Amino acid sequence: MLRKENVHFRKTNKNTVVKRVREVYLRNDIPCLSTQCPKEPPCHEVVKVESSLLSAEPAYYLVPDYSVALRYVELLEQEELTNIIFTETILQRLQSEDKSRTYKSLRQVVKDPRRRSVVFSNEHCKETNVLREPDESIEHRDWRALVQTAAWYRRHLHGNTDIILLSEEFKQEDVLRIDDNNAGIAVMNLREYLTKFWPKTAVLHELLTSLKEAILEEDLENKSQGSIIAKKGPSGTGYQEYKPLSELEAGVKSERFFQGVMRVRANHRDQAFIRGDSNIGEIVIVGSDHRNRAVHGDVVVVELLTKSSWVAPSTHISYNPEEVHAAAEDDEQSSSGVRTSEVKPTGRVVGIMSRNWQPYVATLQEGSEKEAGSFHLVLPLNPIIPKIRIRHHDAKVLANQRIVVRIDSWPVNSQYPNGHYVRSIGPAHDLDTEISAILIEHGISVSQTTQGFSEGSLKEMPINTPERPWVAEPTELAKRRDLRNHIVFSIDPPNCQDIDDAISIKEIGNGQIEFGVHIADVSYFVKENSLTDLEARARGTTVYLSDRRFDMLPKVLSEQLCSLRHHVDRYAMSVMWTLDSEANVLTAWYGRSVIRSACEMEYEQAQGLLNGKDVVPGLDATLCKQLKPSVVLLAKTMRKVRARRMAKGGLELESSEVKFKFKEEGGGISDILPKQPLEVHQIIEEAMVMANGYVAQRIYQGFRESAMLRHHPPPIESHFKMLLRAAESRGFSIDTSSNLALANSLRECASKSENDIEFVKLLKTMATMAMSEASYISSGSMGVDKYAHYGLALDFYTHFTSPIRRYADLVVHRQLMSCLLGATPQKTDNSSDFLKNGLKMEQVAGHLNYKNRESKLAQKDSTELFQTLYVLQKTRNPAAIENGGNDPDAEDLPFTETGIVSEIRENGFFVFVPRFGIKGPVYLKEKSGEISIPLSALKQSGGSEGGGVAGNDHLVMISGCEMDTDLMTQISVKVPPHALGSHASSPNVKVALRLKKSLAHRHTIYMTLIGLDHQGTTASADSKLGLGVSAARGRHMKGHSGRLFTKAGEQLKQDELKRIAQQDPSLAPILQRDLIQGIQEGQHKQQEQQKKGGKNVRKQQPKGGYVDPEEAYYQSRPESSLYNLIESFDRFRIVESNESPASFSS
Amino acid sequence: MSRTELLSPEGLRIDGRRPAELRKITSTTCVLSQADGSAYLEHGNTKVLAAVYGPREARHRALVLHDRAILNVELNVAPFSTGERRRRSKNDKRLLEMASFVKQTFEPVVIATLYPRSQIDIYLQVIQHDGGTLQACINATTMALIDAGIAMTDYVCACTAGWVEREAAIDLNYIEESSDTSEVTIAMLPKSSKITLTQMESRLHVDKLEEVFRLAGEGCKQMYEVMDKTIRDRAEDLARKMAV
Repeated sequence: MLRKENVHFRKTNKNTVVKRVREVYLRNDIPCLSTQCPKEPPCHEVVKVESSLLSAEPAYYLVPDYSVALRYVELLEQEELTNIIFTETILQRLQSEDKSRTYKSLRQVVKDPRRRSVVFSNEHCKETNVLREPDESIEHRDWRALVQTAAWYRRHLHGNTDIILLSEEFKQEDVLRIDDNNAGIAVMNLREYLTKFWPKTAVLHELLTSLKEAILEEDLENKSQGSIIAKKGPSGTGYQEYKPLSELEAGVKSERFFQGVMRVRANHRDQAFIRGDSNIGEIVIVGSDHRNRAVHGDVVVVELLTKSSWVAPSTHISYNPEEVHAAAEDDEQSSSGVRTSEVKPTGRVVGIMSRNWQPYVATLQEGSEKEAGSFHLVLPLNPIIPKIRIRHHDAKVLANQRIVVRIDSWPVNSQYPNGHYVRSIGPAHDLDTEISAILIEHGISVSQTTQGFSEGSLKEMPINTPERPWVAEPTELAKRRDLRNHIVFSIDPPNCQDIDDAISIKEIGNGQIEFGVHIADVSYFVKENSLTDLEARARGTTVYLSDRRFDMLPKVLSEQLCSLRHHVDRYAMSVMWTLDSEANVLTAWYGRSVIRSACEMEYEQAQGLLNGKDVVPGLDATLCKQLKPSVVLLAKTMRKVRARRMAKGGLELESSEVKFKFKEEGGGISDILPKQPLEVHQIIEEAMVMANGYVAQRIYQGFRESAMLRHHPPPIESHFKMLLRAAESRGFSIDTSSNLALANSLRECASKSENDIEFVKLLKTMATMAMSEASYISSGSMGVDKYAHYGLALDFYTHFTSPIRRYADLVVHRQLMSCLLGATPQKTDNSSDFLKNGLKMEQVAGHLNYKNRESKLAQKDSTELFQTLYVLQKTRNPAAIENGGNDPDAEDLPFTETGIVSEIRENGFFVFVPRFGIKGPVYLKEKSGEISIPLSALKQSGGSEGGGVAGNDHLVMISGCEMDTDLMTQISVKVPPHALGSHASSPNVKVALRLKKSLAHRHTIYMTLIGLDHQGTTASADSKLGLGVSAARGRHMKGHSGRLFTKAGEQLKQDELKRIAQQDPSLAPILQRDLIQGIQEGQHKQQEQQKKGGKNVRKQQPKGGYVDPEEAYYQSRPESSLYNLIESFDRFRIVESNESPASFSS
Repeated sequence: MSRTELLSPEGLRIDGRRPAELRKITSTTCVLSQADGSAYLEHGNTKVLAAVYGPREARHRALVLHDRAILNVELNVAPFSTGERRRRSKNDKRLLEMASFVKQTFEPVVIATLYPRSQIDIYLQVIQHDGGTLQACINATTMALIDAGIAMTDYVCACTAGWVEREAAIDLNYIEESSDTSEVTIAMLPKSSKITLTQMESRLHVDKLEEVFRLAGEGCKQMYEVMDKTIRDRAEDLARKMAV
């Protein structure tokens, strides 16, 4: 090793010049990291390095220079560009010039094994180190260093591969001057490079153009910067300069400042919050000035304001997505009216530790395309992101398009961040565009969405064509346990393509039962670190959207070879138990097997068999006869297992999920159906939970430090607040000390209020919301006591049963196999290393958690998208369509539905419509502050079940009402002249679903109140005044209207009417009229309803609760516990399981 | 703003070493003719000069021990040893502490009973500072004592190791030392692998301690080889000269 010293001079704070000497060692052993390294052994094997390797085939390697790396990162990030050699020179320079975001992006590229890109430590390599000559500019020295590196690679690889230097500053001649022997080293700028090698990839060219524009703008700005600052001054926007990093770090350490990830409330965008430490809890940041240029997701440092200026988080429902942009002006006003009792620590952002800027999907502000000039504001689709200023030469092209933008910077003197245009996705509100937007926002990669797998990875796939069908190999068969003589069957939703689990069960005498769970053996086909494996790891999970799915594995595997189809031999990973008659496990066997599924059953069919039918539609009679005993035995056994788990504290939770029925042709949604939970769902779920639990224990035995487990931490006590209050209102107490206590309390509540299923459902939903998020962990990363799964009440849990659609399961399969082979010495290749490396496993777990979460959120977004589409279809006025489709004056058709009040806010409440799983706001107070409720709300609606609304009462607003709410359990409206002191209450309301149309954002559903609906609750709700139904997050409509109509009988109403009239004579006529009309119409409707007999729009309650808590969590996620998630089993992402009375009581 | 990356993902430290590599060590003995024994040692850019006087008559009668010699260590850091010139007072607590560390390290190793009623003076001068001062001082002292012909049971070899980002690394330089790295210095008797000194001033997770210790121990063994070679070369050289 050669030792040398780097000397440089630096000015210190005290304005003295200091000479700094750094010792640097130049090495001979820096590996080239190329698979075509001619040395023997290859130089990257001599030195142990963890890095992806440059591939052997390509025609060239790319070496970007600083100008390219700094300003064209987005281009380098494109997945098309592979085999890039990043030199240490540019990375060091990025770091020293404080471009950590760029640096991180580049590191990300290197990390991604599919990109086959590496970092070459040229500054520490003896042969490529370059000294700066006297009077030489840094740029030139760095350039020489790059040329040296390129030349070194040429020499090292014996000239086998060309090197392309990418530079925007230097030209081919510049190489000549440095190195005479430069054949095979080409210098290109990006434009030349793209034209030569990617002439047809428009995306790259477009991106380059927009980047160039952004750079041009930046340069212009830099030139004129001095004058701007002089003119505007930093005070122009109310933003403040960030404090220096050292001060921030010191402040955070001394607890003067608080650090955390800033999140913006989705339903009130003026407010953001961070989670401080445990002492202080949540810190609220109100208004854009205090937010100080931080964007959702950034890690910020917050200083607390003085106590006197603390505010309570707003309890309003914000009126419109654009509000945040205007919010800066009126935030004083909004904070003045809040209750002092609930003030929270309030702070302002003083510094940013790291930015979390991502590509955002946005739309050009309306009308902006007509304006002159090349600067435009775009509105991000996600309203919690501020408007972004971009530069584009031809805004007309962008009008009404969804485009992807990136934020570049946010100078202190600019109201909005500066960004640049990346690419256009398509016209706004086009279905495909909106879906791509969802995918982009959730970071689901392009390669996954285009379904593409690289040629290399497809080559790895076994062949299965009609001409050459895949057959099991005899040698492989010999190694596997042959279970082909067992009756194996699978139960899945209809038309399931990727069947990853199957079940076998039979009695083996002595009352003993042999029970097997067979999982597709994906790990046999996908070898560790193969291209397919890397791609699958990057994708993490299959993404299911409402109308399509994006696979994790190539189709040949996911739909054919791995999928456990019937009547064909398939490899499987099996877990076989011997159970006694009480379903206690006597022995367990794990291993590879070969199976032949007898039947692909659908849930409905299995349920039919279970219900005692001898033949179910779609299945052969003999097959039914064969399968029926198995299904019945399975149900019997699993009920016992489930009962035992429930007794240990397993939770049954609630969610509302819907599925969409699509029209056969022409697109469009024909209906939204709530999921029908069947007992079979629960049975299959239990079998899978059992397999997962056992496998988790087994791999933990083999991999103490690195087993891939799934844990679910107990919820935070304070999250139960709402649940406790809701239960209290009914006189129940809930013990949240453990999962068992919670489960018991919930069960008790359920049994005591059997006639109010809604209430029980609500309690369960609230319990779901209190849950923490389940996540993958590597067993080494925390103590054994932390592995437990709270929701399922298991000490060990993992995901084992769906390797086709989850990467975690694939890892678990490999770990299990490695455990089973434990005795035989493993090859010392990378693969076994990877499974044993706790640190790496932790990284993978983190990545999978992220992917999992994003895919769930994408799924939720897509559900919402389709829900809005449905409402759009339903409310679209045929007249409007005739008039050319875009007649703004055309009144939407009313679309009325019954819902329950789920959350109360200062100016209205949220209503949940169980029929469609839609939740939306109802505003009682207009933006102007006027409170109004429709006349129809005062009307008896008890009798009317029909879809239509009587007359036009819902359009007549009674103004001048007063409103009061305690924000938790009740909201009451006083109708003028004055309240009469009596009230009725109902958690159920009738609402009209409407769509707030927006160009820039997604359409949002909101609702207007039509009336109260006493259908569900008249039995119980009427009993107590005020507290009656205060069940949950409350829902009291209170006013003299209610009372009138809850009392049965004409006579009573007449009496009431008289009383009102006495108190306020002026109101009498109105009341009289309404009342009579109401009654008549009610009757009329009822009759009509009976005649029609069909279209019942009344809320359909799913029978019993059903569980997919993990889904449930995303369905009903409260803002405050943003990233919590409760776990359960999600089989095909929609696990429904019926809470059958049998298991409930046992 | 960004903190410098002390260990790149490629596994190279800031000066191009890998975690388990020592800096370049050069040493010579017998550099001062006035002193009874002397040594000059470089650990990369850390340069230390050690001079040993004695055993000789004790200065202060009061301190004399009648059965053995007393050790006296004085440590001085040159004002020009760092980039910014900075004069340290003689009573700088850091220096006194470090001197006492050196003294404690050598007390059990020097066979003091052979030299009753006498004193051994060790003067250490740090000429250039680039991290790892204590280890350099101890190593230089060992060589100077040997050069002075003072009886010792074994060499004392010192080495530092610390937890840099995500790995244990050996022989930290100044940049690594000064960016909040946990650092352990140990001094070891290489033949018996006994440890006479461990010093750590920062917090280090107990799980990582073992790895850091192991690495520091290995560093000490390597130090021993380097020092032993210098001593033997010197001895051979002298022997050759005497023979002539």
